[in-house]
Amino acid sequence: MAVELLTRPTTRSQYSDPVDRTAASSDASLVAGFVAGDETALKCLYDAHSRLVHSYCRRVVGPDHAADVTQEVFLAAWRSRDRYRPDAGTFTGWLMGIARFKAIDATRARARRPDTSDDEAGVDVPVSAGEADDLALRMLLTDALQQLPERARQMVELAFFEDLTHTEIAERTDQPLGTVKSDIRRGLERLRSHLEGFDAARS
Amino acid sequence: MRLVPDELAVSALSRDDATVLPTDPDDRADLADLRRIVTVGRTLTPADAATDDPPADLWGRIATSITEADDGPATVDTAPEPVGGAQVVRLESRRRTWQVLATVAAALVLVVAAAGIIVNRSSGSGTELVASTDLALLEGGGSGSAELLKRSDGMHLVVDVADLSPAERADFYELWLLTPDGKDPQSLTKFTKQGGTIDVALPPGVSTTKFPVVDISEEIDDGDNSHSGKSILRGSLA
Repeated sequence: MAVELLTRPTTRSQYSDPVDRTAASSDASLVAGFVAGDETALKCLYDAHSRLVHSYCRRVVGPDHAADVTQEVFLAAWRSRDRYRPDAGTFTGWLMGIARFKAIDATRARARRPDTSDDEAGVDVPVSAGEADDLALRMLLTDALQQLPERARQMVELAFFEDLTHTEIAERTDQPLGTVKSDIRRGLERLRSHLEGFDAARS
Repeated sequence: MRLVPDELAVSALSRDDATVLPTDPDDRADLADLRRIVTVGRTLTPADAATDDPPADLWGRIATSITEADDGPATVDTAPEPVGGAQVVRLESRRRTWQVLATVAAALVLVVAAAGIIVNRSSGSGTELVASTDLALLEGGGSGSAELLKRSDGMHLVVDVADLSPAERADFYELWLLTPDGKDPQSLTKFTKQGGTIDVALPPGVSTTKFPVVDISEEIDDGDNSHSGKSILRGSLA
């Protein structure tokens, strides 16, 4: 932190735009601030991730409880912030790992209560842990894909959704094959670090 | 011998069942990880996108909970917690506390803003352009320019960048000042955005006479605070 003390401007805007997560998922210094207990850093991370976490919770526990569970997710992340390891995956992945726990717990807690009168009519609530797990992974990867640099995102999407080979992607995007290969490799590695963060929250 | 990472990624995406598994155990493990991503990735649909913002007061509730009960980091609690029910009462009182805090904060913002306007008026335009430079692309991608501004509160370096991309890999970018021969890097700030304005106050003791060269580098988050040696953009203030 010594370097940051010397070099940081003193305003609240010391952190770069939290919505602009780009290739780094979350500004490394922002996450460092969070781990060190800086509430401003938590606010920035909340701004950048609350939509993802809330959308996920909404789909697992239904609209009536989504906000409460989202709150629990961020509080749990805050309380266990000293357990987050940046070298073991991204913050986004780790947070979604916690969201998965909290959402499944909430679903189970409700299932145990006999007076569950608000059964979320019309809402497609996945009940099994496996489904909640799968959905967390899908929403995490979708979000992570959107955070990739534009060119890499486009190439990975062509490989995923249009099933193009590297050579076909090179033709389609008018890029050298070597660029396609390294962009896709970096993109997949980036997605992988999100998955590692997700897995790290379970251990 | 280990495979080139690019080729592992090609294998992970291959539909060809005849693809030969790598012999190196680490390669096999990497390939399995990448295949897991590819398998899920191929089944993603637009319905997997996050679309629901939480209620506007949710951050207030979280902030209040933290302020009320911040007893430092504890172990992760994964035990089931009741949802709703008895919590509702507590949330109401938290909300009131937060509203008071928010009102105080809003009042402070007004005072500071008013003070800012007065200071600005009394010092004329308040900003003087001291030096500037275009930033040349060294590796990776992007463009930019830098201005050294003298403001009432001191010297600021304001850098505009567009379409930054690393040559290899960047967890973040870092803005530096260097000596005329490109040595002794002084870190000004780290950032992740690929385009936009970075506005930093020059730290005490860092003068652009001694450090006139503006440099933006790609950095990986490896705990090493020194310059990576990989500069994307560079220019000399004049």
